[in-house]
Amino acid sequence: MDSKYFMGVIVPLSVLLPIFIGIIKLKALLPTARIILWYLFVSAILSAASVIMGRYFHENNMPLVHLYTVLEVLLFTWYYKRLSGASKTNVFYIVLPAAFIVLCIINAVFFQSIYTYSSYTRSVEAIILMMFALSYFAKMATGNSEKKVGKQPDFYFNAGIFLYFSGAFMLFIFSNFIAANLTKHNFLIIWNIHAALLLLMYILFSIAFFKCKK
Amino acid sequence: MQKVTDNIFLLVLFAMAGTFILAASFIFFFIKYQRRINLQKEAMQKAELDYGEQLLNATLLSQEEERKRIGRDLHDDVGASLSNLKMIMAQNIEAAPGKPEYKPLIDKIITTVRTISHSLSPPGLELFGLEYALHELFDSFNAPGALHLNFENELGEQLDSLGNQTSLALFRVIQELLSNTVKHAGAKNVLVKCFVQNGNAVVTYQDDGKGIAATASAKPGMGMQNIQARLKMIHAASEMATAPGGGFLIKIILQHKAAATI
Repeated sequence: MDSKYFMGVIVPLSVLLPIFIGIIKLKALLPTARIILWYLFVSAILSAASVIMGRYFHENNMPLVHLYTVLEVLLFTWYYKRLSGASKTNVFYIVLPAAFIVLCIINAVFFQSIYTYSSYTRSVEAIILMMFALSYFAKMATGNSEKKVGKQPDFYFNAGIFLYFSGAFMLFIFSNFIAANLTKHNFLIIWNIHAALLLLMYILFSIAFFKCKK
Repeated sequence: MQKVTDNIFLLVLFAMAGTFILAASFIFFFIKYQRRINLQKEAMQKAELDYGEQLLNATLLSQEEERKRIGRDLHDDVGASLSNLKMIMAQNIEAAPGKPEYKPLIDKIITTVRTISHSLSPPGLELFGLEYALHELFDSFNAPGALHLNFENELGEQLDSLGNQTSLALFRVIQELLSNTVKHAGAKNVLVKCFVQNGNAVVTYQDDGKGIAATASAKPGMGMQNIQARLKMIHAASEMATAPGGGFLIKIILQHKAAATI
């Protein structure tokens, strides 16, 4: 099988699996799960747009990665705000995304143009989301929840987020570096591993939706 | 300066694998930790429940012991003293003029003391078994024209070999049920039946009285709570069926644990 097929077709299409389960279980979804469903919609749309731009119009689709990075942080911040039960006026959840948007603009204007891979902001994003996921696990470990971990949808969401961003973190850091220094074959292998991590996150998200009960 | 010959591809691969393994291990140990915590919580809850059950058993047992002691004292001391008193008075007052009517009064006191003593501690239960004790109990309730009591024992001698704790609990439950029937139900007939069903010993108690309106919010009274506590103590299951005007039925199932004492 062509390695591009896995990375360019199977994994982008696999986002439809959690979306499909999410829609079927829509009425049973927790408020947090609904935000993840929104994230998956955005992810699917941008992924499709990226493929169309790159493959059919032969245009540089890197601006979409910059946009995707910002939207991903905004949606996941919304998710963690809801998960933590923080109030609408909680400063942390307002300042953090605002600061990240400013960082993305500065990065795009001064450091990494929108036509190159935004490795700095992707790396910062990975750190933020890993910290969010860790804060969830810490809260679970010290909390008094009677519910078993395996029955909590948010556990699967966080496991997916934590595993994906931990595995992809080094790739985000060195992405521009490896693009310049690796052979095309090795470059594709690395990005296929990234695709596998993404697939793992989608599978965990699917399990999470599946675990949602009225 | 020494030239770096490291393979960047491998380094990136190792870095990705390393961080992923770290994250996966973290989640794995987190799940194990949570599972252990949950097991500990469950063990604690079970220990609390067991303690509550033991406490209840101890309370009921000490209550029975105390009843037995008071019953024995009433029967042996007060009863004997009253009989002596009756004899002495018979000797001294027999010759006295006017002969006051003291005998019926003393007889009545002796009967009352005996009844109280028997209800506190059924004397035949330990000596002759549950069937005899139940017959005695039914006799005490079987006043002419009041309540018609039927007792069917298909268990035969097995009923007398249930074990002291189970027999006493069943006796107290039936005593409480009878008392409820007399006080509240206005029933004409009561049927107590003992039989075997699916390998379990079963006791049913049925009256044709007013029954009880089953409402979700209604809490069981002291008597019913007492019945439930005693059945729980002997690990017996119970099923109730009642409706206003439809009488009352309780089915007591002495499940495998209780039946094992047979």
